[in-house]
Amino acid sequence: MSHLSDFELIVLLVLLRLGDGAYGVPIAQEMQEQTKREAKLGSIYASLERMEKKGLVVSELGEPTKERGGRAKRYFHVTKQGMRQIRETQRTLARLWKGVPELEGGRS
Amino acid sequence: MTKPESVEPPKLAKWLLERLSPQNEPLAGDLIEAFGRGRSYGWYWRQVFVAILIALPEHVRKHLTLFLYTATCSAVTSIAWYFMFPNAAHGSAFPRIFAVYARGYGIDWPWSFVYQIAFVTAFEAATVWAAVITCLAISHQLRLRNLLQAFPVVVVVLVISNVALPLFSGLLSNLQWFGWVIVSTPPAIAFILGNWKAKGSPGSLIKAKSV
Repeated sequence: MSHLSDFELIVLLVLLRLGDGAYGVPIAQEMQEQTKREAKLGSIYASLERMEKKGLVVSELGEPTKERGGRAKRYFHVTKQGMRQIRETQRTLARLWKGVPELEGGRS
Repeated sequence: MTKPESVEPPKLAKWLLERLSPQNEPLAGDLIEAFGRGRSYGWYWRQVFVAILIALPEHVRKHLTLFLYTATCSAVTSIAWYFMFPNAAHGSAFPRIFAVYARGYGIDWPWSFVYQIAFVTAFEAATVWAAVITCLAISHQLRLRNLLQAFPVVVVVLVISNVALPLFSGLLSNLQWFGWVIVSTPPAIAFILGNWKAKGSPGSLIKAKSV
């Protein structure tokens, strides 16, 4: 099982936070709020498409709306395999975190 | 960058996104929605630029023949331009054309600059135009009306780039071979946009499988 990149992990965690309303605009908004950096929708979609091919997420199209120029929303959901990957990455990061004196006790 | 209330996203950015990232309709919808909620023109352009940049390798892979043809044509244009000028190693490869260019040496500034830009543009437009016609003829899409509509696109791209490039001439001379790549880029862009326009239908460059 390959590990998730930082970006993929952030995207997956944002999908979990948003639940059923996870499509482009709120995903980018939430990422920006959490990371304090401008999120690029092109990068988010590229990452989501890669993860969809790996079976980590699934997507479905919503109804086209007027405020979107007649274009449909694409909703994303994390799959069971995606959840397993998140947990595996969390465990790996936790293992790496432990035993590093510089990072213990909240000191930098 | 701020914008007035209830306005459309930048048309050019929207147009470029539809053509260069055509399979990503939800992304285009997200951008329109976010723009409608108060995002700036600058934000919209940055998002479109990144989306196009990400979609580019896929386009190149899908249309490798067209990409190689474009790269070859722009390289030939730059090489022909280089060999037109006589130097210590060789004379001009096109002495008659060079004689026309050399008339500009006797003109006072700023008209000498205008003459030079007009000459370079005409030179590049001729080669780009020949490349576009060849490409369309091979793909059986040659239409005179569309060709004439595409001509101003080619000329505008070349004029803008030929006016802009001398401003960075000092920088380009330090870049060595990469400077050549940059100098060869305007004919390539002019070819792509000219070819696109001349094919007549939106997204036809993307649909074309071969040249």
